[in-house]
Amino acid sequence: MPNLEYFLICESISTDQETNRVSLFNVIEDLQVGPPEDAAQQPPVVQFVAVSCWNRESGDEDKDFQATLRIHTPGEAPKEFSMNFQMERPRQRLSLRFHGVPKLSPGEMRFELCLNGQHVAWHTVNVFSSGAGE
Amino acid sequence: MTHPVLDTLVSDEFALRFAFVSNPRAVHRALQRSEEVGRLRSAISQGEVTECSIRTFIAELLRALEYGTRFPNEYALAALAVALETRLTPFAEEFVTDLARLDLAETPIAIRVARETVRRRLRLPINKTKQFTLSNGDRGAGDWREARVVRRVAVGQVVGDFLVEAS
Repeated sequence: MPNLEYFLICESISTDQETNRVSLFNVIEDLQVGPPEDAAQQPPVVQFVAVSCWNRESGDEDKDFQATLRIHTPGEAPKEFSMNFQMERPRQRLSLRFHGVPKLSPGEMRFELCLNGQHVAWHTVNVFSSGAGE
Repeated sequence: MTHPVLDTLVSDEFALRFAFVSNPRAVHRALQRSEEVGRLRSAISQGEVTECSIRTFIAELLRALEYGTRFPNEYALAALAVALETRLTPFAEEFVTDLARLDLAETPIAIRVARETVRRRLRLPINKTKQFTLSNGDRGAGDWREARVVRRVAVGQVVGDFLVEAS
């Protein structure tokens, strides 16, 4: 099974077409949301990307793998997004891009990465209310 | 009219610098370090040299290919392969792999340099992306659905086997 090199949630990603080098922008650690009673509140980010990079292990050639991102948001059932891939090269980068962010409640937003159904990594984003502590 | 940086690749001075290098791997290394390939790479990245102009340049080069005669522009072809080595576009992939697949006695160095390039390209990481869009995103409600990826193309760009033309 491939092993994970890194897994992050960031606002955007860019891959240099000349060099194939990847740049990640604005790693998301905390999000601040307006009070729940504010119906017109703007989302703290308009998009985000879940990026993972995998290293091939011996025996991984020609096998199919499935990476699943499970998003746990406070007060809601987890949502799953899957991507199938093969380790054709020594390294494989996977990105799941999400346009639009649902209304969030304060708490922990947890992104769980699984490979073939097995948990591999977490990325936790703390969601704060802008009215908290005021 | 070709870009000056492409013209330098067909000069005798350029070919002579590599003609005495012992093997294709060493030619690859020498080309990679050469000023001309460096300038070509930056011209490509800055858009001064487009993939379309490289395609035209290659077509011009290949006019000098004659059966039974050593191809005079093989170092230019080899330099192009090295310059496009890390470029992950369909054109670069097509050019490098097609050149590496050739079996021509007329241009042995360019083909072997291209094979070295293909070998190195296989070490580059692959990028795979999937997109999801939030339905009713403006209201912050709904679910993420897989998005249809619409690829923007420009006039003059080659997509697969097709050249994009203005209607």
